[in-house]
Amino acid sequence: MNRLENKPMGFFGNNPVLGLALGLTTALAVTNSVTNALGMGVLTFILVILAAVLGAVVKMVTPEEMLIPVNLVITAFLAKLGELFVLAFASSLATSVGIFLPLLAVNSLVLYATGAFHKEGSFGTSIMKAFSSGAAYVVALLVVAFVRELLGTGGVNLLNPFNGAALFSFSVLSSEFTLGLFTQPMGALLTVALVAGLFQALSKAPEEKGGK
Amino acid sequence: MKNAKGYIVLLITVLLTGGTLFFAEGQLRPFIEEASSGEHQGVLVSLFDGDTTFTEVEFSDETGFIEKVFEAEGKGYAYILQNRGFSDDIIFGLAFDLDGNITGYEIVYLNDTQGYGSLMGEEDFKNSIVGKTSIDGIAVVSGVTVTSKAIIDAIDAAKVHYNEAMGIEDDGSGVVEEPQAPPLNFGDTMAIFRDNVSDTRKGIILDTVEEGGNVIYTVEAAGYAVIEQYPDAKRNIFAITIDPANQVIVGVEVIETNDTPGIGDKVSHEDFLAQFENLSYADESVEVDTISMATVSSVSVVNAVLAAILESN
Repeated sequence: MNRLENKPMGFFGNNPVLGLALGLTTALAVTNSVTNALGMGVLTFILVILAAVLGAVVKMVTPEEMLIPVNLVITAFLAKLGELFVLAFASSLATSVGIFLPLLAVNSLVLYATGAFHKEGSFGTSIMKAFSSGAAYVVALLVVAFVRELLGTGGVNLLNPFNGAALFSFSVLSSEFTLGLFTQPMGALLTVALVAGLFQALSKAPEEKGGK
Repeated sequence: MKNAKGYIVLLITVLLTGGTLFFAEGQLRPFIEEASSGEHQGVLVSLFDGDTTFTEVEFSDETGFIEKVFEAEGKGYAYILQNRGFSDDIIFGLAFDLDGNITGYEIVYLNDTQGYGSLMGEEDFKNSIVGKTSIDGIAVVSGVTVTSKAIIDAIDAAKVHYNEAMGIEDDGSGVVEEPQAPPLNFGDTMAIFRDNVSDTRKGIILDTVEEGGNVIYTVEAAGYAVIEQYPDAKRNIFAITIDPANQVIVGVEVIETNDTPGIGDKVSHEDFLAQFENLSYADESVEVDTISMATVSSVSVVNAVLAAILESN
């Protein structure tokens, strides 16, 4: 975990999904539409913040060698709690994302946010890290989903992920120019790779010039 | 001692989180059930005419095909059914009125092959279901066996539940259907008169019978099995009735099809053969539609017709 400790997450460099592949399975699955990406992104963001808060609390009383098991329990607890709330108050999101809602229990970003892997951080640092990594996760999901939906369907149709109400939509490509591949799992991998490359390029610090 | 503290923290964490989840689930269950019934509201309201109030009811089902059961106030019962189709799960709604008649069949999710399994979501199949009773049998659709059987098995599960709930005894007196032919999808158009028919594909006259002013030709023509050189492949055989004086094809009858069952044998479908009935060939640009996904078999019929016309000339 040296890499996680040494390089803090950011939007472009070390993006949790596109740079560190945290929560990648969910990201590949739910980015078939911007609506699903927004819903799961917001839910994951909330869980990440809660994970950071609970993780910081248990860290005060948990011996170091038991941090990972305790934080795994917290991650599963938060994922199940999140699932119950979504089933109760956002059933359209639950229907859209299906099995990937309970699979939040194995989302490595939530586990990371509990602080299981950065034992030295203070409460404030944990919350700040969770906030930035959660926000970067949402941004990555939205960018990937936007590209996939645009190329795969010719436009974007954004619904309120929590009640299914239409928010806005636009279409720029006629059906003969759309690429159905991008709505499929293969298109998800391709898009994630392309967007990850783009983010990496944007994050690259200018090389030092000069020499010996 | 340090280890003991860790295990105690883990135990307390498990107890606290488990207890919280138990409490939360109890509090949220009514909201989840309400949202769950609302999830299928769009389908449910389409199963009955007019405004209907639905109440989800408890049920037991050994088949696992019944996902939800709703009592439609003063109108009957509605079911959300699920079964595995050819390539994916199929989810659909079904409703019975108080007299045991099926009043509605609506697909919620169907992702089977376009042109085959997808036909089970279209009006023709829906119309074949709606109006039947809870003791009528429903036949599988030939050529779409897996998808149609999955749907019919789920309907049968709903019928069992409905009959029990309403005290109806299925004494076997209901209508039992023969397997249905799937609705036909037409594809490319093909001219009957063509110069480029290869020797392999040309129709061969086997027999000629004059009947009144008409001549009935028995013709064999190579279908998909022969052209693809399947082992023991045989040509398709048709009876083509021609009125040579008026240059009219009176009709085409399929005597024997030897192409892929469920695909090539679609040439026997009445909608396809109806194209040839009383079709004038005085104008040599006359065309017919081939059957989508059964083009080669369709062309064997066209070639047989052409051979009969040329023979009559």
